[in-house]
Amino acid sequence: MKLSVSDLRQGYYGKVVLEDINFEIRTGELVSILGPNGSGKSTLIKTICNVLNPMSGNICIDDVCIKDIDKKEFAKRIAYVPQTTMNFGYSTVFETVLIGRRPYIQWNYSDNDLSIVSHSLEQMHIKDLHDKYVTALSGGQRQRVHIARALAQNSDMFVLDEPTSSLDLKHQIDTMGIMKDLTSKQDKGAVVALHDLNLAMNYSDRVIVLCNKGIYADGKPKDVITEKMIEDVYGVRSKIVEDEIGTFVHPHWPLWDDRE
Amino acid sequence: MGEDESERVYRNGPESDLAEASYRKLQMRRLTIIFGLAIVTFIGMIAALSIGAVDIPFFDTAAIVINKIFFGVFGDVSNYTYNRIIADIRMPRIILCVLTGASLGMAGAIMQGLLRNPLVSPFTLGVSTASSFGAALAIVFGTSLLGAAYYDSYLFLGQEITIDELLKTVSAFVFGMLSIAVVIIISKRTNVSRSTLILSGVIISYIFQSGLMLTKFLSDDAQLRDITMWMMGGFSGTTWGVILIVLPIVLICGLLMEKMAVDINALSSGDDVASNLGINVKSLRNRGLILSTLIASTCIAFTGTIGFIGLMAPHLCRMLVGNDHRYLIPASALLGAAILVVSDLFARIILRPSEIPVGVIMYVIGGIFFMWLVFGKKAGESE
Repeated sequence: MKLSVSDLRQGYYGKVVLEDINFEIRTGELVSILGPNGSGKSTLIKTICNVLNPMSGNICIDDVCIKDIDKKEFAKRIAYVPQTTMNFGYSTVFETVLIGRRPYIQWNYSDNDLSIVSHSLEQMHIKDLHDKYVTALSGGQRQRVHIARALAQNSDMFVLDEPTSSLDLKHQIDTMGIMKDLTSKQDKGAVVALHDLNLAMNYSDRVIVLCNKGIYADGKPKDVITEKMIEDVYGVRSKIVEDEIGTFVHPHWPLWDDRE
Repeated sequence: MGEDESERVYRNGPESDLAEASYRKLQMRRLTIIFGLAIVTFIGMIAALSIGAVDIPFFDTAAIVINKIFFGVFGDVSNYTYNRIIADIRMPRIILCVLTGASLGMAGAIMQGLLRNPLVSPFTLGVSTASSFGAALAIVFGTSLLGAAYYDSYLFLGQEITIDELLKTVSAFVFGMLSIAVVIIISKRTNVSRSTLILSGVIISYIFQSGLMLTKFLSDDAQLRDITMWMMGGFSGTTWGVILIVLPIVLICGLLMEKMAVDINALSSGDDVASNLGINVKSLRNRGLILSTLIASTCIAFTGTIGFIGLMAPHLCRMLVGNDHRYLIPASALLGAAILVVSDLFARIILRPSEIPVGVIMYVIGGIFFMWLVFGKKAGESE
């Protein structure tokens, strides 16, 4: 599957947040979207997930414009996990993940739907929470429930808005590992908005950096995540360190200046 | 990909089956609760048919009911007085009770689910106040509008219809629908949040409240009493003609609501997630609000204001059967019906042969039941 964004212009109440956005994403690659707060990462993600209509420009799946694709069919192509998860009432973890099967059912769930949900819970390591109310879980657990819901949607591409923001270190690594497996072993696509440059550096196949309403850089992590980019985009001095286990970003702490 | 991919079956050993089995068990538990609520409602109906100003033996009641269901093919199954009391007075009254309780329960469940707020009900969104204003307008200005014709009555399908009652009912219904029309017009604007929608319902309620106060101020003593009695709600004087109007509306709207249950479930994870899952959120919300207001307004137009059920029945049922609207909608309908039938029964017998307003009993029964559920719940189960 190929998702292509061309000449996208997007914003709210007439105010432009993104303009002249062009890129293509294919299944089999894990793409991280980076950028400072307010750079339009969530807006871009909502737009490619058909939650927001673009001001102008085209978003196409395999050269078919998404506004011409049936909404239920679209849900089978792209699954979305928002930045902030929402839960209402007394829903168990299993039921919440079951919501991801909506595009495949009319009114009732089949045994196959239940099996897929069970598998998604297993993937996110929340099987033991299956009968707990989502409202009784911690923020990180809820986030994993919603990622499991997207996995149960069984789409060709997963689009996640800051999925690791509420997760502890182990679950950040697990979640990115799952996305990596989906793209490399199951030929799915993944687009992940991230703030953690180290996760982006070590898990992504490609990085897109948003800044000043447009794309600052688009390419392989090592080519894009540079000391210059971090200073230009985030206004932070840093050092890129490479060792035998990976490449890492060390931000320059102001406190170090005091020590020197 | 897509549909073909959905056919892939995952099996992960006994632990997966445990989660699935637990979900199936939960579904069975919910069906059992719904069945239990249906039995309670049925027993309540039979008790309400037997007990009243005149107590009728259970077997006579059952015989008359069965005979009525089979359109009287068994001839005279009991004495004439019992037949008259049950078939012509109590049965239509109790059926309207059930339909009203069910309608308000379903309307509340749908409204709460659509707006993801457990405090929303036909009351909070202004439907009840608007209907009261409509009825009050008809009571106070009916004679000026229609003159002597206001007191006329006609026979329709064997039922006597008085113009004053008809005008009151139509006016209450029209204003009830008008309140939600305004909410929907506001929602047509882009990017209107759920809280703005709820707030607009509350504001509309206040506007109609002020109209109601003005109408009361302009009314004479008899009219003021009429308005007050209407606002207390009640089921006396219900005829089969009313049932013929209300029953199809409630049944059709109930089925349509049940059809949208899976989409409302998806909405509980947020508007954005629901949109991504292929649901047109705005259209779903408008359709749900129109359907729930339609059934609530239809019943309120005939019964007067019946508060509390639209808020409490779904709230209690959410604790009993969870948030899956496929179960929540029928459970709220049955619990609403059960509470209203039992309340109406007590309202008829406490000071018999006089009746007290049904609300007096209903608020007490519902309140105690609610407290029992809230305080009886284990720690960690509540939101």
